[in-house]
Amino acid sequence: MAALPSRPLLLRGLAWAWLGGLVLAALWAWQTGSAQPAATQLDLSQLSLPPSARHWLGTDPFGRDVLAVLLAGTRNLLAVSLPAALVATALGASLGAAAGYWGNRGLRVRRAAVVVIMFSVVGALVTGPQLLPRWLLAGALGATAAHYLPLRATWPLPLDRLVLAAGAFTASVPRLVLALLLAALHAPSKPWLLAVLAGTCWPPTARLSRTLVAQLRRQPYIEAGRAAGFSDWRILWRHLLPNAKPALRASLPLNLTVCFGLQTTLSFLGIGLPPDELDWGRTLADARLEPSAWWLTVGGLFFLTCTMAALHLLSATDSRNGTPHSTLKTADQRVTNKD
Amino acid sequence: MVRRLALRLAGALATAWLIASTCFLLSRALGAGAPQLLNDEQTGAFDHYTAAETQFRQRLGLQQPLFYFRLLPWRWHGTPNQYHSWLTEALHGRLGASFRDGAAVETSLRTALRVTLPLTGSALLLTAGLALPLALGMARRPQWYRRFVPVAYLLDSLPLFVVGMLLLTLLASPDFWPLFPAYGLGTEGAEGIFWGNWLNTAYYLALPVAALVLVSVPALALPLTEALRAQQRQAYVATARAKGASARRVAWHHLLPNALPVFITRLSDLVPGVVAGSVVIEVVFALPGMGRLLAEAAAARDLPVLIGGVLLIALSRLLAWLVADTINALIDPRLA
Repeated sequence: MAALPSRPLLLRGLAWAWLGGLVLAALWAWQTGSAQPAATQLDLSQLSLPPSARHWLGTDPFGRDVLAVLLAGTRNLLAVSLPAALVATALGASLGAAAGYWGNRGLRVRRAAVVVIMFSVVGALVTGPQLLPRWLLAGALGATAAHYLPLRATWPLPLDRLVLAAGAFTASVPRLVLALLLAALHAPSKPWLLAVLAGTCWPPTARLSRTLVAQLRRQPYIEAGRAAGFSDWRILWRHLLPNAKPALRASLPLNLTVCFGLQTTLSFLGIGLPPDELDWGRTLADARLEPSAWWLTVGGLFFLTCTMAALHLLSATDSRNGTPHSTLKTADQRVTNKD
Repeated sequence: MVRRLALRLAGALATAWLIASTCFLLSRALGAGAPQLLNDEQTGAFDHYTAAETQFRQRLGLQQPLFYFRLLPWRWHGTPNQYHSWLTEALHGRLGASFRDGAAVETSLRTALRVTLPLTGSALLLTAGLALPLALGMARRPQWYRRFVPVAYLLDSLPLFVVGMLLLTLLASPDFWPLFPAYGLGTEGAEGIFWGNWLNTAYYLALPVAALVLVSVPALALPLTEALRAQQRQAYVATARAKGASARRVAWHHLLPNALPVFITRLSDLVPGVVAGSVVIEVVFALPGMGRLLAEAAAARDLPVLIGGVLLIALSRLLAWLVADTINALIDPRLA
């Protein structure tokens, strides 16, 4: 991979321009409030028209302009997938870094706090739905309080094993099926969809960051830092993170492609967003109402493919700037990313 | 070996139980177990609503306590509870009744599997059959490999339904080349696939299988190529060539057995992935299989069907892992 010539600047520029255009489209849709160009008002004279000078990409079976619908759909795509990818990357990076840094016995926690947390988790699962938030809140407060009790006995927290097990548990069902199940647990809404996307996408980033930090931890400068009496947080934040950053930066575009793909797939299946919200996947699902109207499919597919290609290009160039070591790992992560 | 296998089997079963229990308890804890039967317009008189709701709660067994006990205040409920009855039913192979039509979940899963298994099975076989020669070819010719990698990554990052719809638009729509049928199985009703007219079935399954194969080949061919390239640098390859073995013989008899564990592990990873991929493909091509069943259940928030399907897929993945580990241990005793 390292032998490949660096990508032409033109392609990178195009990729950035495309993504910038998407952000502008989302801002436009947000400003004009046209994220829901009412599916209720049918324009009967404009149903499923092929592309023309007036409608560049034609009209859909509801008489709406396909280009306008796609541009408006960008808003929901960016409003859900972008934060979801950011949360997934941050969550994966921090969990993986903690697992790689402290390992199985590096971190010790108060026994009292562990008991309180286990108690509240069991309580939350075995009681009815109304009490769930109360249990979780009580667990958090109780664990904080238990930390200040005079009971000083501690247990080593097998952080590494826990993070790996959580990742394996999440990965024991294919990502799309897990997302289907989680999305069905709650009424369709944007925050829940965001949580579902973030909750299903974090394990590859966590594995990557765990390996990186576990390797870097054995470097002499970290030992020197520890000998100098730096705190764990300072070592993690000021010394390990900057060195792990190049590889982690490549995982953000990757998570973004995964989130985009998952969100459009879910809304193509009619799941996730409330039914009156626009989204590229939903536009493509509408195309199935009118099988002879090829322009419906082609417009949506063009937008999706360009976005994926742009993100893919940027992630590839990003990982090439990193250490040669990281390229292999992101490549491996990429191939295992398939739903 | 047998002891290790038994241990792994026990671990796999425990994982499956944990997954299913978490799904069940989480669904009930989030309140998704109680279907919202009537919306505000249909409610009408308050009495009707409560009567209907009580009736439905009794039918679904929701009037029972959720778990064996309650914390805070402590109370022991004992065996007649929702979790216990669900677990005993599941152990007997009964996964409950659908919220939508009341049909037994295992019956609808079985009917759907009769359509899905030929689709995913042939896609897996074709993928394996294509990836093997492709990887061998790419290991021998680096310039092929360099050209294939970007295409493979792009195919891998595109959502599956994009690939499916692209094939559908290009090869099945009347405006381009209407070579293949756009949807269905060509048979009356949904009694599964008739093996009698397999030619007709193959004609109808060609595009869905092609879409699945197209996105799964990179995930299988790339790691295998990497493994083959790593093996090529070993000294024993040079020895074999010096002894006069042909390039083909070196590839098939010397390189492949050493790279095969990678291939088998990736193939076992692909088994549940292909089942999940069929979710999208079956919706695009309107096949009445397991994937469409799951997608429709998710859209209608029909949890018994979803949990049953997830349990089945998790079991298939665990089984695939076990089989792959056993085969790998047989091929390469160092891995046992």
